[in-house]
Amino acid sequence: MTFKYTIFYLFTALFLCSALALKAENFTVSGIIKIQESNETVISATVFDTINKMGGLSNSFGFYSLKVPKGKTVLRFSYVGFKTQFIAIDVQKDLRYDVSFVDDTELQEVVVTATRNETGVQGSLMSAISVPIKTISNVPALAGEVDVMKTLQLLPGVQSGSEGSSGLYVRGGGPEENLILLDGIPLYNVNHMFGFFSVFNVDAVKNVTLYKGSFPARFGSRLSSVVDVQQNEGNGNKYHGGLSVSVISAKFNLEGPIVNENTTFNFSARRTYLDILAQPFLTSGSSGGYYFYDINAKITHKFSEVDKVSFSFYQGNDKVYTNIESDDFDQDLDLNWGNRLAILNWYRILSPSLFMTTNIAYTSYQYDFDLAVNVDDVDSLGVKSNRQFGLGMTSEITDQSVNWGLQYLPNNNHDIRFGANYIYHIFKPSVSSVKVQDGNSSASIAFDDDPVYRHEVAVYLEDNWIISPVFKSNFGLREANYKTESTWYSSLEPRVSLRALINPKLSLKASYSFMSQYIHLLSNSSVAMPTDLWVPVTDTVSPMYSNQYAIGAYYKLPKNINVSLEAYYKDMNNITAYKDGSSFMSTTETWEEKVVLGKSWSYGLEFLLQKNIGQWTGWLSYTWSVSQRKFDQKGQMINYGETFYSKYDRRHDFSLTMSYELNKTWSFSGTYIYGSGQRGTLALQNYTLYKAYDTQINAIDGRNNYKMPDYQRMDLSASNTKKTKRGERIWTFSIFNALNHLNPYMVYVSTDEDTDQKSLRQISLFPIIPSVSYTFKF
Amino acid sequence: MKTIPLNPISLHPRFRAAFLLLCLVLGLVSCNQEIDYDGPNSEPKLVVEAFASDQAPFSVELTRSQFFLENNFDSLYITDATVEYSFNGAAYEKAVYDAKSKCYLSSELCALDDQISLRITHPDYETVTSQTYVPHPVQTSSTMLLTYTDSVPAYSVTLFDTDLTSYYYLDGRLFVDKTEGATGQSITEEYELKFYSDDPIFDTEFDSYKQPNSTVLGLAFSDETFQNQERTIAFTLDSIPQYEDTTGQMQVTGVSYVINVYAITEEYFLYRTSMDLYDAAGDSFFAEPVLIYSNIKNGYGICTGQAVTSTKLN
Repeated sequence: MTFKYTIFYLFTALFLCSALALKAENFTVSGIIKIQESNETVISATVFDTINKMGGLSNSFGFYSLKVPKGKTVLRFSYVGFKTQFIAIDVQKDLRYDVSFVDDTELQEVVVTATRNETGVQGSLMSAISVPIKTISNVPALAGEVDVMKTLQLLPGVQSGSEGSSGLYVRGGGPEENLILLDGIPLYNVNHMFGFFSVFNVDAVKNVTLYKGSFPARFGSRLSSVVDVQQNEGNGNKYHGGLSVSVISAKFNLEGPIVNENTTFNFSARRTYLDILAQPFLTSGSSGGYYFYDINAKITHKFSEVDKVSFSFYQGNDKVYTNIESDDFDQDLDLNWGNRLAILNWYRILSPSLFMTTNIAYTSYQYDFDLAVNVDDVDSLGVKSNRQFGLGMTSEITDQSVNWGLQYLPNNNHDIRFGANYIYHIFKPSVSSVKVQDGNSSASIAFDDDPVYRHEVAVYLEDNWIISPVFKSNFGLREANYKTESTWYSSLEPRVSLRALINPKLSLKASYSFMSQYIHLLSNSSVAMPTDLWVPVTDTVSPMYSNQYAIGAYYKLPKNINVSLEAYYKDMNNITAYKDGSSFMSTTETWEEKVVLGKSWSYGLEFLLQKNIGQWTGWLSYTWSVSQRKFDQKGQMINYGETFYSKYDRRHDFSLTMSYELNKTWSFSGTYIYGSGQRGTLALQNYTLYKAYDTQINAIDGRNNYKMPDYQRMDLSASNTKKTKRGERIWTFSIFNALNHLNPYMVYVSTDEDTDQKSLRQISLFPIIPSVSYTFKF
Repeated sequence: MKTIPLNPISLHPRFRAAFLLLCLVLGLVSCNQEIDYDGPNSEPKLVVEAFASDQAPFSVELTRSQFFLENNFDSLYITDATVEYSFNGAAYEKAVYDAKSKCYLSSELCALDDQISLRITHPDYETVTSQTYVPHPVQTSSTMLLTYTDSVPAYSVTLFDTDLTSYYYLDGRLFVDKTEGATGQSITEEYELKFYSDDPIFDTEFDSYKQPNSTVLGLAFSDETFQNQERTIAFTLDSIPQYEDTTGQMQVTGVSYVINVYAITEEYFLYRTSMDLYDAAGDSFFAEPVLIYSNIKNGYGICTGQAVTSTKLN
């Protein structure tokens, strides 16, 4: 705590000194930056005072504010892919100036890959990457289904879980340690189809930003990363839409104004049809299927030049169902899981230097498992009887929250944000029910069906501060509080990031972040399932805390090539894991009795080389990392207290992503991924205990003692785009796993039933998969 | 005490089948192939089950493990190893292999509090070593007859906390001595016990034993359970022991019961509890892996001392 409080006092002193130095003779030029064609706001557009050499960025709502000395100057507004605008103004008072960007026809061939937001050579933050949706759309995809999370997995420090998974494992952290925000509100499970696809429909998404270290203080509640996904607001000028059909799903998108440009909507829907395709292959007497769907909607209304309200909605659900039927037997099995989210946002420009956001939100995640068995019997006397058995399991988490924030730009050297949020959590971690009926008698019982209520409150203050032309920093503090039945947990979380600009092409950075997390995810260590349980911090299960330290060097090469090298060390405390032998299905213990608390640490090096502009674009990323865990407290031991590698430990992770625009019709892209194998637990020896037990033991020398075969995959894609009378049609041909390298999803020991011979076997999910998709945009 | 009418372990195959079915329904083309093992070297190790008590020679049963892909179905007993033991720091003595019991036996008995060192060498395996001691026996009250329920006997045993004993093991078998009707010979039969207790301390500490009437191999618990008090555990049998007398009639009288309570070491306590977890997890697809505790350096198994308190009831 001493270090944290030192940071706190240092920050306060610097902040006060800075505030006293504000210059009163400046005026403020502020406004909203939009795209002319769609009237959509632009995130991270650059505003630069070319005379006074000062600049800033538009925020996630397109708002900018710049202090300009009295008199004439020229402002430059720029954003990649759009014409740069130079505006000459004579500033005699505070001025509102909205800007509309126009497509730069000369740069239409430009494909933007990963642009750095608040980071890069000039920025103060490190380990943050903003990925435009166009980049995500260009990355080759499994079955033609473009996926946000799979694109993020190609960035350094971010690993995928098992084959095909869209889970994120950031710098040694688990998937539960990622704060995945849709319009600022968390989604608890972003997996469709057991993790092969994510819930984000790219048609509805405007921008994605990943923070994996150097976290701004406005973000909290998770240890390892923040994925900030913004939804499209909708075109304010005219109706646009699209229809896309791929091998496994169909998507529809429509956006446009309602009555006039002040009110816009964006609606997207997606559904898979594997359940329909599977029908011919099912035998008589059985039926079943799987599908998922997403619905994204957003309505935005501008009440005035300073007031805007938006309502966002998301609902997505996965459903698996099977039915096995015979003359005297009937079994139904259903598994459902999904998210629901609704947000009412109010944005207000309080003054040219002050921007306010307020929202109330609801988000929930639920899974249900239901098994029903019906058996008809006829005894020797011909008397018929009926027996029924039902088993249900449910887990649910619901958040109701209020969030409020201010962005204050007192001068061009400070970008101050402060705010507060309150979350009312309602947990039903694991509700099980059993129902048995035999003839006329029946019995039913439910376990752990009482909801658990929790309160989480946080306040934050951060400043993105240009200290001098060389030094720039992002200081922040977050105070997070959490209430259980009888305990108040509290943590003061300093966040510091410092940049030293050695020359215009080279900068060095260092950062420190303290994070807390008041929610745990109980995961099975073998496979990621929707049945993973979100559980609250309790009086006995403590919050998780992490310290992350990072240093980095950033260099800008000719031809718009950027290179960065970062090193990090992260420690995490009070991480949870199931005890030896436990599983989520056991009903003899409560979830608190099944888990133990321990610690984890990870360290690594990350290299990123990216080319953002030109006919050839793409990036190369390499990560070397180590991730280990230890559960050694009395009564809380795993692996008998010895250190072991975490499941996410991956020594080498390499990816190359390239895009090439041949002409206006054809474009090509490809990715190549190589990674060390995932870790798992394998009993390498077996023996028989004759004396006391007379039983055979599969001897495990340690948790996660086995490294699966390495992972390797190449994906290729080609797109043909053609303008038609009514719009634009795109054919996309892709080959997933073009090398047909069979990557391990699961490795297990098999015993031949006839010879008892044992062998090691690997299940791979995806061989080479060609696919084609068709998209029509109007 | 909660009543759980359903054994969750028995559901696992359904879940596993469901999971595999789901994968199929997904329509994904899966590939299943045999692969070579390219992990770290794992050589077979010696497996030791060594028990010391004040009532029998120190016995060491010695087998070996096999690599998980090795398909050797022959006996894995090791009979040509050099097994040495030392009591209380004295010079090592060689144990002699007894083919009948398939154990290496010491030439002398241990005494309470004896410190025992074990060293086993064999040219094909790493040398293994271990240490243990012989604990003091458990202080128990006389086992008493509680009641007959549906003609099935039920008993209880009361254990007293002492400073000399830290870990306990209540044998899951009841030994019944009876006279065989036809021949008149005395015979001993084993019956599995069902434990139950209304004592809340057992409810919180031993999850495996929460279910009334669950059949378990035995009950191991630590000194912390006692909290300086005496504790009573009841047990019962599935059915009343009977024998057929010379006239062909079934008799229930004339039998005696023996219940064994062992004082055990911490190492054996950890070993037993990990074995219980291993049994409970079975081959469940979703259960976390279980590491079996061992105090055998460079090997597997257990080396422990124990002291038995047997109570006979006629």
